[in-house]
Amino acid sequence: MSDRKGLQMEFSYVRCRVAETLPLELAPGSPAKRLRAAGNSQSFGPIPGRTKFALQIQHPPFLHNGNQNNSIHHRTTPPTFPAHTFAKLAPPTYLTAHLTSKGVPIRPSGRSPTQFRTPTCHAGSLTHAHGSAVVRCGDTAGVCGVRGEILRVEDVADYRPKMAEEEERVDTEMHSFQNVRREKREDSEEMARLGLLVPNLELATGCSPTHLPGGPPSTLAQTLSQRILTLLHTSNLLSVHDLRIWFRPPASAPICRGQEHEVMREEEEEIVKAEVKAFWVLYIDILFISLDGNPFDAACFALLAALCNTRLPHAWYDADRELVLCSDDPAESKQLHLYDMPVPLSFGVFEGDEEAKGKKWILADMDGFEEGLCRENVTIVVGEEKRVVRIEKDGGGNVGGRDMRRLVELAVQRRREWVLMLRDGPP
Amino acid sequence: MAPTAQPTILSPSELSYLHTSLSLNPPIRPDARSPTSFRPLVAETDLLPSTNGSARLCFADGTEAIVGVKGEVERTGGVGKQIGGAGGEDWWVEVTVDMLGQRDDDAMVVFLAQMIHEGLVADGILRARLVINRRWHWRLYIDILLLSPPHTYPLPLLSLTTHLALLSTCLPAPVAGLEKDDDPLFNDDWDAAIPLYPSASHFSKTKANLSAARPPITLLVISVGDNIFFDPSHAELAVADAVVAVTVASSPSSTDNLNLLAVRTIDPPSRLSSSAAEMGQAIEEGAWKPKTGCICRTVWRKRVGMGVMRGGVGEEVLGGLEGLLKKAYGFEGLHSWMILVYRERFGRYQEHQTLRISTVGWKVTSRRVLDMRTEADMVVSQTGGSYRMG
Amino acid sequence: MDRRRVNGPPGGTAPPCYASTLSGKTHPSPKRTRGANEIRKIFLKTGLTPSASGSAYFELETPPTNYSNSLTNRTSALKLTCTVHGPRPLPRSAPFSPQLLLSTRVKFAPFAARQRRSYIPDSGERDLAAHLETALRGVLIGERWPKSGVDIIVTVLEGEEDRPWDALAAGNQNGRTGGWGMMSILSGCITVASAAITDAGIDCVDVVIGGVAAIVRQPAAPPQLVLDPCPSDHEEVIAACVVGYLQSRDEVTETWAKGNVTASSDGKGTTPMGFNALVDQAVEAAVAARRVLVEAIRESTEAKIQSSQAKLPDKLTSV
Repeated sequence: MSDRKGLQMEFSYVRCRVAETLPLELAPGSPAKRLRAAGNSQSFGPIPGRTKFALQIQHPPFLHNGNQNNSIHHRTTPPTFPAHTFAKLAPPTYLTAHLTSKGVPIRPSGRSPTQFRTPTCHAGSLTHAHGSAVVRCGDTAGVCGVRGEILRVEDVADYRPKMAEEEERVDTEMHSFQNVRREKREDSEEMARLGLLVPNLELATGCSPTHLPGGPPSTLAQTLSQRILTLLHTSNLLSVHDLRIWFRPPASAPICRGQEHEVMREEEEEIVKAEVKAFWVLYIDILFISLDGNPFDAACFALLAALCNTRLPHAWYDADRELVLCSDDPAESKQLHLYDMPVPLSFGVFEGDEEAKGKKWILADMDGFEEGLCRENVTIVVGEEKRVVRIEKDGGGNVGGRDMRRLVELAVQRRREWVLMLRDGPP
Repeated sequence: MAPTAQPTILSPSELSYLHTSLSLNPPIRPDARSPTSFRPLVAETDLLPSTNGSARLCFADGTEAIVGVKGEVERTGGVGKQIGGAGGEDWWVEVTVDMLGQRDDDAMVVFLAQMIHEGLVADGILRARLVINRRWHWRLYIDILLLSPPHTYPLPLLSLTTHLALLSTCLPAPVAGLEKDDDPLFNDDWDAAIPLYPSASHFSKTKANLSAARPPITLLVISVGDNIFFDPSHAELAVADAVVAVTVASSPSSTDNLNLLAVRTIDPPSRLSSSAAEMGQAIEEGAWKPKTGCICRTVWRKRVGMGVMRGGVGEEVLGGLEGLLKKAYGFEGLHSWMILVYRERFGRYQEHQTLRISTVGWKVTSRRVLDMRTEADMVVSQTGGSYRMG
Repeated sequence: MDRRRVNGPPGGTAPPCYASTLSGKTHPSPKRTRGANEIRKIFLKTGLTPSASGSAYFELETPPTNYSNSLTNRTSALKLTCTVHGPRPLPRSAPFSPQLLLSTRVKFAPFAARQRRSYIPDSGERDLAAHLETALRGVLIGERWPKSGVDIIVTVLEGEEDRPWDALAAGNQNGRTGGWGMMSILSGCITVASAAITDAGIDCVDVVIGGVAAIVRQPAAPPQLVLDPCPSDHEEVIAACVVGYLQSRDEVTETWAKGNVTASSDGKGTTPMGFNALVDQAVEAAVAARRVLVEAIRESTEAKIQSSQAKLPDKLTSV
């Protein structure tokens, strides 16, 4: 992954020659040893820019301006590269060298393989959104804004009105496990049918050189939007109950179930019936400001932080004006209730360079450089009580059952951290 | 955004020659015009019968544009809003520009439409005219069609054509006795239609109010060296140090003053031309080199010889503009042409003398002339409905 | 309908309609508390997007909101991010260009304004981009990068509103003209793009800074010339002007003025409320903003020098 397009162009020629015709001839010993022998092992630490390597390359003929005999001279004084040049010349070797270093394997970013970046979050900074958050995970940063708009039931093509009785049934019926589950499923089905949640993810903000504006949203952006939409509908994060806007005629306001009102209620049933007049539609827009790997986790964090911050104004149906009106008093606005907190954790599997056959490293929360080197990707989303909400995996078969168990544990651990951060704010 | 569709084909030496001759005092323009004079043009109004107003304008260099204006009645206010603003809304006027071979989201097309729209709504007169009552308003669609490939920067052409079309626009008159919130009904008698920009003669015969309200016009002004030029040709644009589009309208209060509605700098195309050095020519004094940087405020100041903070670019351009426009817009050029239009529409042939002193050639034909009943207009139609002036 | 995005309900939705705006119970609209020649505080930081060649973030201070506690009365503050990608080689298919090709884009986030904005670019955004390009083209020394292009992308996270919410809904905008918020946004775009270009290390003749001035009128008060206007603070904006100004060369790359001003002096000098005074005041605003820009550039340059010094020994080691 190169920072600057210019540099990438500059090196592409050399890299292709290295790969095709001239294997890197390093000093004898294992790759890591060789590299440590050549570089300064002291600086093999968490500061990425300071890592030093010396790479000995058998010079291809095209690099010589003189005759072939000079090659011996060159071999005695090999050129050295700063770390970032090495990373551009031979990315897999660079990463392998880091991961096979003495003691604990460490990634170029200074993290351990399963260590994830701790996100930071700043909520409520946007004026025009009902809820918002600016998040940053390492060098990946994004803004999420949640805005509520009103969908009137007249505008829904085939709307099946849900009566207050049905609503009350939930209260009266026994809260058996199956019933709750069925209710939840029906809720999210209704939410999906009406399209009450509208998440969109935008990468075309110049957040990385590969995502420039102009033209339709990229495949990556489309995929991520759809993944977030699915996550919203399958994770019980929100309930359609909180998005309904009711019309409760004044007469029915004190719904008493006392015996003396029984007769009255039956008589007035036609008039006093409370009904749903409109819904809140949540437009959730996530814009990336900077992208350095793992957009899905960052987007989810931004989404959760923004939803935690969302306060919808108090809304009611005004029968005289035939309008849904809102109160502008902030004290009357209601915090959006989140029923669960689905937390994702994405991993990549790195298989090492040519010499590291059969090895694999599972890297949590990859940055952009690592993403370019990993074919196999895993995303695990966990919810409350260690429930696994979703597992996505593609690109290979290196992760076995035991690994998976470990990864779920890691995701659970991360969820604990996130929930603390989202509920209580940053430490 | 490159103001011209094609990059300049002039060689560095030609550019250098042009630049030098335009920087002289007095300057020499390639077509021997004075810095303030416009090129001859041919105009025609009311040519599209299915529009509320239309105009065609043709510059001598062959560029030609047609503008059609259509009005539609629309309900004011959106969801939850039943009452509209008394002053009207900017978006009630919609300007679209259609150019040969350009997509409708092309930067140039968007820029032109925006610039013309900006000028039209800036003074609030047009918007206010579109209000019918509290619940209804007119929506004005102004469709601009550039028929020729854009040789010169087409902004003045389009603006003048729009101006003409708006002058000829009439909207049906509402039926009398309309209440404040009623659904509007209109008189189907086209003769009773109310002009969008009524001339003074429409309501009162006093001449003083003639310039009371007219659509604004946008002019292109370039500077080369210390000189300012109006209505630049393609070659002159290619060597311009700075290009400014200025939208002006006469102020409603007095006939002498011009009100400035919008000013914007346009990227001069000279920045994109290649310098002499790149073409392999010797770099010497006077060789063509595109100007880096921008309008230097000190250059302007040097010319006026004024103090430090007084006289920025705007003053300089407008200082020139004011004097020049008074001439052009006031009595000689554009104004006389406008008077001609008025005259043809409303029978004011008293301005005939003004026309004669015009330095520019105009030819205006109007089909509506024939429908008019006044004696004066019969005179016009007897002479063939077309004039060609000095 | 854009099938490549998640769309809302097909029936369409409406933004919340507040009861207070219908009943005509209006809150006191915000008032300008700054002096007439005082600009809002600017926060400017470069290097926000490490993967871009250059980037910057711009924010104006949020005015204090102590006048009333209402959801309709929250005033917004301009927030912009800018990324610069390049200069990089043009694609092989592109025709030869002796100069650096500049492409500018301005995009509003969907939550940037009171009404939700679409992802599809509208003409206002394109117009802003054209203005920005004019402002920047005069500054870049383009002939140093033949056959290359640079992309400058500004994202408006939060824009400025033209008028208070009450006025919008109740329809008492007596002859107000719209689009004044765009002027402040353009000024911010120029400044933030300038910072990002400097961060990317592209050669310029000077830093270009945006400045806005406006002639405003309060009810029962004479017109007043103010720097850095916040349109919703004022009853009526008569005219406004944005400049892109180069202080060290005393040049103006971009002028954008709108409104109704008397054209100019009558040969005797500047009229107090004339166009020239407006331009001069906009330049004043730009000069005031320049200090913030220079400070931000100095900070980022110092940080870069430090990190490059730390890296320097790498290149000298050899086996």
